[in-house]
Amino acid sequence: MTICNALCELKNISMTEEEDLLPSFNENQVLLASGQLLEAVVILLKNDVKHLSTITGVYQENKLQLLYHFWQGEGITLRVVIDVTDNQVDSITDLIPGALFYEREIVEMFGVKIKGLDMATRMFLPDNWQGGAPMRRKLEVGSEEEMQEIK
Amino acid sequence: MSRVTIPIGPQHPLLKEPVSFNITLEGENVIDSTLRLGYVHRGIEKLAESRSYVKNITLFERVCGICSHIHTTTYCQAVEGLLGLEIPRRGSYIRMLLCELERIHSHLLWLGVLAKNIGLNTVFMYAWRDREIVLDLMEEISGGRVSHAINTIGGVRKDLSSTQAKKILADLPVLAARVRELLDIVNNDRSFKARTQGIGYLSTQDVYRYCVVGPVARASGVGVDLRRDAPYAHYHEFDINVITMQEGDVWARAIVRILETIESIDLSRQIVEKLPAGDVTVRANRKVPEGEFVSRSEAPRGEVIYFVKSDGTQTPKRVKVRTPTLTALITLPMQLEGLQMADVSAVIAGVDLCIACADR
Repeated sequence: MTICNALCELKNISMTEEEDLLPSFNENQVLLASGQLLEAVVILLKNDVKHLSTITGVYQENKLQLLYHFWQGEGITLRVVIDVTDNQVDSITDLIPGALFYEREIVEMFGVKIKGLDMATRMFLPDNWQGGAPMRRKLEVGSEEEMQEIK
Repeated sequence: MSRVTIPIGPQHPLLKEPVSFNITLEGENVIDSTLRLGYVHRGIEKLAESRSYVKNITLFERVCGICSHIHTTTYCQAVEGLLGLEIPRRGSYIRMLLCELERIHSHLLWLGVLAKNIGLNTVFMYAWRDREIVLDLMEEISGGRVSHAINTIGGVRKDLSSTQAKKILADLPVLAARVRELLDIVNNDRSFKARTQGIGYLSTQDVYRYCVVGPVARASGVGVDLRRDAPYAHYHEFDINVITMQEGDVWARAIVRILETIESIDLSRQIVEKLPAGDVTVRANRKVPEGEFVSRSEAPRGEVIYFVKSDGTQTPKRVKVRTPTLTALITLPMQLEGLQMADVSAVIAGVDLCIACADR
């Protein structure tokens, strides 16, 4: 029941109620604007949905979505659309401290800014990494262009 | 009192994998610690976007050097989900059998590493000697001791012969007897208890707050096991006994893992005894329909999730891997605070870190 209640409340703040606009997905999903993330996480925690499995970044056609995969008996995913010009989202580590490494990974790999996250040092990429956000790169892995860039 | 910061790693005296800790001491006591990952970051998720679904099986087998089979299982389940494929029961049972044998192997390996880190070399030798039994069984079934390469999209690549089944049923009781001996040592040995009890404490509240999973969570009283709570493959056909303890320290983690090993030995026996007849694989289309799929499974260290996004071609658009070690690492500074330097090795080993998994 916890997921069901949370889902009903989340649908009220969702950007779309049209199921057709969302991609086919095997778990519950809610589409949100980046400004609504904290409100949505508060709703989930209030309904006892505590476990954040991970945050997935999906970068496609110059648009970035962050997928917050929650689980409590069944899965529920918050699909947060990141504004292209703003390129930032709030940190949820105050509500869920376990999101720390997920968020740091997202920052390093996708170059998105997470407000309220201490990023003084790198966690995954080398300290002298100059290549930008690796998961946004368009070069084909192993292609000639990429090999030249590595040289 | 003056403070000293001791760097441990990335070339590690405690673990065989590279991770760097900076431990700040005041006298003998730890007052702060930080860690740095990334020394085995291989860009696996990015690489997966340029390889076909089938080629990616080989890639994801190499995310982890211990629980390689659970990674391919979870990945294949996600792709099969997108394809709408139901794999044959016999194939699914063989997958589960390998998963359970891998759990036994991983837990015994961990016990050996913990014992070595706290100076109990005899337990280390016993645990790793007994682990050979299960490694031999896995080699017998798949041809590989650690990388099994048995999973494929639509089932498994090798069938289990009746001779192999008989060997498994004959060897498992020998292993069970030896694991019970190890349980006796962990339960009663004064040195083992003195080095592990009351250290690395993690409360139930912290487990929830930090999203910790697997045996570490179960040793702190959070009884979540995806084999029972969100059954995949054919786990719904078996009774899964989830072991929990309330103590939340390194000793409780040892007990949970050894009892889980005994459960897994029993489960492996049940799987072999109930093994249904039929095919082990079905033909899968190379092109995967457009859509997204999340697949979850219970690895030896806890929840593994794979997110796969397809755009209707032979190559995935995005694959995300989440491994259980990542959240356990966040809690390490908290577990270490206030301990003596000599206990650091026990706590670091106690959470069963897999750095290759965390870095990907």
